[in-house]
Amino acid sequence: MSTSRIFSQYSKLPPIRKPHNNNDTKRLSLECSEGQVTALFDLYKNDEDCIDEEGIVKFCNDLGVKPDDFIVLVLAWKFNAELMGRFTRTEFVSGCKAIQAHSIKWIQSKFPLLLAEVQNRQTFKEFYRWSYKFCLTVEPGQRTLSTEVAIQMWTIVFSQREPPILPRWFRFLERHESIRGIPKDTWDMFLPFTEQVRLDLTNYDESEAWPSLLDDFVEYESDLHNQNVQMQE
Amino acid sequence: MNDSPKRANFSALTSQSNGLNRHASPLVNSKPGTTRKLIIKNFKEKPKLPDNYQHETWLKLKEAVEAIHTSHSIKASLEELYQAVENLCSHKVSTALYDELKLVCECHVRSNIHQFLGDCVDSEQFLKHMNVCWQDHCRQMIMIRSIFLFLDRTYVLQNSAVASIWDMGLELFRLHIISNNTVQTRTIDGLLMLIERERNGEAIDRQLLKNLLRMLSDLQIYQSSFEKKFLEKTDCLYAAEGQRLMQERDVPEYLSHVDKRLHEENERLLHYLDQTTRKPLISRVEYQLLAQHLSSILQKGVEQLLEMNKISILTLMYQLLGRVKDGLKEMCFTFAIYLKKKGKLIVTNPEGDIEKDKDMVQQLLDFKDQTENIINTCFAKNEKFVNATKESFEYFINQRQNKPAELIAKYVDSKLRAGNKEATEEELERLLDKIMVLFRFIHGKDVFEAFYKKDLAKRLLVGKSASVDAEKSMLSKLKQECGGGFTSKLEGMFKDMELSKDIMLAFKQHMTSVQAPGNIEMTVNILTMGHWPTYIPMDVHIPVEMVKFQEIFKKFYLGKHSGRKLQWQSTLGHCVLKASFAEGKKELQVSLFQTLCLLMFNDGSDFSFEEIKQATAIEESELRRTLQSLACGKARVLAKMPKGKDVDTRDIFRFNDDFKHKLCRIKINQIQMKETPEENTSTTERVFHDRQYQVDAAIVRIMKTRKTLSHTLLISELYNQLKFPVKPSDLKKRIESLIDRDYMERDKDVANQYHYVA
Repeated sequence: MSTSRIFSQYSKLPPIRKPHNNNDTKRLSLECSEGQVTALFDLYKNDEDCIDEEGIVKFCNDLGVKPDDFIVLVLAWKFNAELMGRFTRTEFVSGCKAIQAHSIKWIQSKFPLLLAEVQNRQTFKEFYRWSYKFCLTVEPGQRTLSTEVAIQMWTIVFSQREPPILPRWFRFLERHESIRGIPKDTWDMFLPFTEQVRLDLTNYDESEAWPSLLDDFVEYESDLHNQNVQMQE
Repeated sequence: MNDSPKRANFSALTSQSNGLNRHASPLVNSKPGTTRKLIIKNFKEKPKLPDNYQHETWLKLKEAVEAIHTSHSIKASLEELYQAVENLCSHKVSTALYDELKLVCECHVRSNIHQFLGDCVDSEQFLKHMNVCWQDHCRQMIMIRSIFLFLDRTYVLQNSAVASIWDMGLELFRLHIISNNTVQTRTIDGLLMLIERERNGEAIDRQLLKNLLRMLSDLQIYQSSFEKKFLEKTDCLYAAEGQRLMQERDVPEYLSHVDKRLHEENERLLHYLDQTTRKPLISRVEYQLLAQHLSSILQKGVEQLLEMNKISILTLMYQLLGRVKDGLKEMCFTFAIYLKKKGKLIVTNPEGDIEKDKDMVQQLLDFKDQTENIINTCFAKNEKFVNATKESFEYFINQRQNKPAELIAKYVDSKLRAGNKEATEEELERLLDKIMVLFRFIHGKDVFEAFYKKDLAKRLLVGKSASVDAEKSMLSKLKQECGGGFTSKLEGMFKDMELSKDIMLAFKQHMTSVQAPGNIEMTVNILTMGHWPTYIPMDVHIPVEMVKFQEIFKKFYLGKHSGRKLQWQSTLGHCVLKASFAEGKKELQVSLFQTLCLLMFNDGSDFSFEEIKQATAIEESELRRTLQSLACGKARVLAKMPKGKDVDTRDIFRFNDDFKHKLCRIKINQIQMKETPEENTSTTERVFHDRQYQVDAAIVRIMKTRKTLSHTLLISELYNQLKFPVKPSDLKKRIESLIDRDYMERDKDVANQYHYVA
């Protein structure tokens, strides 16, 4: 805590602006920040010079967020984290550099920016696809995400803008124990599914290249709907 | 229709002269050799007629005509009268003569009408009177015409505006008699009533009808006055009759009735109706009785008739319905529905009744026979019906996946096995041909192949094949149907058997120089892996002598074929054991596993299940089957304690010294021939796995060639290449699996496109 106080004074100094000497300015601000970032990293690192799960919990606490918050995932993505639940020195340092933040407060201030960035459709798509691979890293050698974990991931990933179909999709998954995990292709295609298919599923065409699990889902939903209609009648 | 008025033989009762006139020949018989000259001189004066000649002659003629009209005898001779006419015509009084004649006739005809205008005349009587009147008229006109023939032939012919005497007569009759409304109505109604009575079953005076209808024809009012009404009445009658009888009668009766009616109407056409009425009449009857009720007839009757194989009625129906528009088309359609329905019942087995499945193939064969018989006999081999049959059979046989293919394979197996003495060679050939017809309809032929192969292997290895010729014949039929690729493995199996025979000959030679272990003989069949079904090798404990023998053979074989590997299949082995019972020696034909069990009893009298299992290392469920066949079947060479049908792991087995059998050589290895339910399911599953591999291979092949392909094109290409039925959802799953295994990938932007991953 004492170190942050020391450093926080530095951070309040405005960067020296010299129009014709931008590089120098940057270098200066970078040099200043790198030291700070490294120090920040040291706050949370463990014996093996990494931030592990415990460190992440602390980091998140300081940031005022929960470890399973959306923004933490975005951070991990921005940091190019290789494994879930771990930040290496390189990842942390270059990540902070990338978002131009060198302290907890600065990182916090970048949150709105990051959230906005990820709103962009193309960016979100990349982020979305990345999160599957990232989640797999929890268990090495795993090829397919288990349904449970996939549901959790979806909840996080869609927490900013939940597609209306999501609860029904979850209900379908939970009711069918025979589903053995979510393959990457199905994960990837779920996003365009939420974007292109109407809520009443009427414009879904199963002769197109949708993954078969989505075919099953639509069939399930339409069976339910028919049952309901019959009961009403 | 224009009647030529000069048809004298048409309605007259009496045959008349045909108008030939005979003049005295002017030629004179001259004596031969002499020539005489004939000089003809003109009259010095033109001869003049007496003054009253015209008037008096006319009176004479008039008298004659009136006499004809009143049916009295004529005073003057016909010759005289004829001459009179000629004279008058020569002196240019033809017109006056004609007109006078016409007047007289007109007068007479007119007078006749009164008899027809009276009230309350019985219809038939009326018609009879009409007939008489007409007949008289005709007769009279003919008479008159023969008298006035000269007039007819000169004056009338020279003046086109003047009708011939005959026509004049007709015109008068038409004008003054039949055009009268009352008369016409009464006549027509009377005729219609007669016809109606006949249609109701009464016998009527057909000649009367015929005459009067001919009369109407001659008077040229047949169509306008009679035919129209007649056809309307016909319509009414048959419309009502059709409705009524469809309700009251069942289809066979109805059809016979229709047939009868058509027959009757044809009779009417023969006997009294004019031929021009044929087409409209028959088509109306067909329409009212058949076309109107087409769907009811088909719905009500066809299915039962087909089910009960009522050949004659079906033939009748085919003929009758062939007369109406779309009749046969609809019948064919109903026929197809029946076939599909019944076929589906035969093929599907919703309750899973095993007994029902056993009968399926025989029922199908019988059904096909029955259908063909109907098509040949009743439907005259009509191509539409033949095609409908093919389509229906193909439809319902594939309503149930895999089972029909499997059962057909088993059926063929049962017929090709030894001990099947039912059929002669030709009968067997014919039966196999019929089977091939069914086989052709099946979509998933690979299921058939898997089972056929398995059963063929058993037949060849356990020596149960009845006739090599029959086997080869069946094989060539399959080859013809499905191509060489389908049968290549099967042919390989036959070749292996031949080769094995050759090898055994060489081996026997070899054995003369080598010490044979123990007192046993051994025959080996070498199976090329890949040709034969997959057998799971089971390691069991084989007696030392057998092992030694196997080693000798192995050495011998590998000496000839060095690059190969041999694997002994204990499940397929069978032996002949010599056994001594209290009653005497017997030879037992048993499987290898049975042998291993029995041989134990050379060294002891009682063994428990566990002991046997330990000693032989036979897998438990297999051992159960084996011991069951030895202790609980027909030939009980072992005794089981406790007694019972099923083998339990705690049972004890003992050699049955009291075993008796009427035969010396007893087969107890039928269990090798029988198929366990596990075998069955595993065969089917293997086929499905194979299909999965084939789908995967096809997808990879296609993607490798095309590099990039849309989803829809990939699916359609797959359907082109794959020869077995497969659902689009199954194809999708294989695509997904291949994506997951990185054989292909989805395009990042266009989700519907796939790329090949090298």
